[in-house]
Amino acid sequence: MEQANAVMGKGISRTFLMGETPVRALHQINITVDAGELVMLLGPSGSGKTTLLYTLSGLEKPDQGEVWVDGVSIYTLNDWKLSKFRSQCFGFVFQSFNLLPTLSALENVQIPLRLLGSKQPVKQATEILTRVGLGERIHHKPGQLSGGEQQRVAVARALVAKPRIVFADEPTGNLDSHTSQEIMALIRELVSENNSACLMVTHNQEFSSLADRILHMRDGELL
Amino acid sequence: MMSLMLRLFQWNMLRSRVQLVIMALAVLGSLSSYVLLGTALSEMSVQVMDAMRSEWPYDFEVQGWFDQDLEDQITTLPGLNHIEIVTMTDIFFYSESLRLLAIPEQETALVMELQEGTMASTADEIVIPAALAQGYGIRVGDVISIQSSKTVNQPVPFTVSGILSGKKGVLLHPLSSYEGLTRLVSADRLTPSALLQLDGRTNLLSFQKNLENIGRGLVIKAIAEEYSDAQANLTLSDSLVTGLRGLILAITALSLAVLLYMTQRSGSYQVGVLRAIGLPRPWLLLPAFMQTLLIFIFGYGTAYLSLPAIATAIGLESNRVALLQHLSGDIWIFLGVGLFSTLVVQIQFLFTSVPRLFKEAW
Repeated sequence: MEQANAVMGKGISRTFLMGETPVRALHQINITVDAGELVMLLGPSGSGKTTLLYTLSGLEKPDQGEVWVDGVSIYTLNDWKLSKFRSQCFGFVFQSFNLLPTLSALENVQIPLRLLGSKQPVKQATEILTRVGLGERIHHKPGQLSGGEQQRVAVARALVAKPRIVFADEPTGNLDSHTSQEIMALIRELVSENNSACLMVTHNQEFSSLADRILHMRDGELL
Repeated sequence: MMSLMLRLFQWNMLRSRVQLVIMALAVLGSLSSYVLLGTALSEMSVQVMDAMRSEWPYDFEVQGWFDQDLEDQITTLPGLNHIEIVTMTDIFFYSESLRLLAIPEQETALVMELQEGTMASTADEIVIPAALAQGYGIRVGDVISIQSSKTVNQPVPFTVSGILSGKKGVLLHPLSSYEGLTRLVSADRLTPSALLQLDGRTNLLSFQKNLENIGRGLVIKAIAEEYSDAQANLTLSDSLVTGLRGLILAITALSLAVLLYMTQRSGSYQVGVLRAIGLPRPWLLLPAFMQTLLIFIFGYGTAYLSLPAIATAIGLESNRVALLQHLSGDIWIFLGVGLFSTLVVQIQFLFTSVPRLFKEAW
């Protein structure tokens, strides 16, 4: 049953300590994202969206509950295997683009491919950079690109290896509205093309029309 | 894989160039001071120990029939600083009972500085210490009679060819040639002695035990009076050297760790992203080690080229070979400290959770 969904979280709970006070970040969350589906996670700041995204992507172990990705319970994997699993199945887009500043766009996009031992990393990276509209700027360093262009490189990096699931955490948080629209449309397009699942955290309802499904969170719970 | 590793290395090296330059200069500076201080203090220790010695700077006199094999056995004993084979005999000099030494043919620890005249070069010449010359009113060119205290032979005349200096540390025994000694005692009765000087660190008794274990009928006489003073002084200067060098190492480790931490901190978000996309931890550790290694290779190379000149410029008399030997030995200690600092800082980043790396302040 678990294998029907790209991602499935069951009974996920997570509590943090703020000083000595326990703060409930996630409470008994059950969630699924199917292949080819773009799910948008909306909610106010502090509602637990990002914590849920980190938990489902194997970056933050829950106190309770389990996360299944393609039928694999990811928190039963050791650190080495989980890293390998993330490189094979996950793509990430973050609010801050965080490209390696000393590498060109092309080199940044090649990183996941080289991690997977791809035989044609340059060709694949060039193709996707052309696809995101940066075919003429592949040798530019991040410092020579605009914010929107850097986020396009980050999107290309997240999707170049055709991951099963893309996790996007406020991918337009640092962009103007016009560029945001472009980036959202780009993610939607590429996710559909690859038949990847996508879980996107945002508090911007403007783009909800692009989502297949919208989930709302408040105080660590899905509404 | 190698290509990715090189790109990560490139990122590691170039992401904070100013800190990289400061790190390289810090390594160069501290390595140079470590080596210079170490060399200078080691030389100072030897000088301090030498200064503690009297005109007879030996810790053991060993009598026996020496051949190359026996000499080699003694030479390999741990703690030996110097060995020389000297021929000497007991004599009567006027009313005094003294030792007459054959002028050493090999390198000697004895100070034989002449006040006037020349060193005895023929069998009938003798050099006497300043105190005797002054005490008995003897001048260069005078003929004096010497009698062996080991035989009943008649006194033998010697011409004084030179007088040793009266400075502190200069030999207080008369000197002649080996042939001169055979005029007093026949060659078959002149037993050579090995004079041994220890390094000031070895225990006198354990060295004596090792000597006795050689066997071969050696007659061993320890001269313990001044050794303990020399040993105490050397221990003190050794502690000083160790303490100061330890301090330099600690400062180096700390400054490197701080600089590495700052460099790492400036790229912690990127490290988080790389780990999120599945880069295993050792892949991030290796470029950091490569960076440290490269900085130390730079430090070693520059120190190798510049240290002899710096030593000369600041008035250190250390010779080039000794200095570079110290450098070659010390670089490994330094590299160990550098790699340890790198490991400590890296572990802190690599074992911090990815979400925490994404936070601005942690």
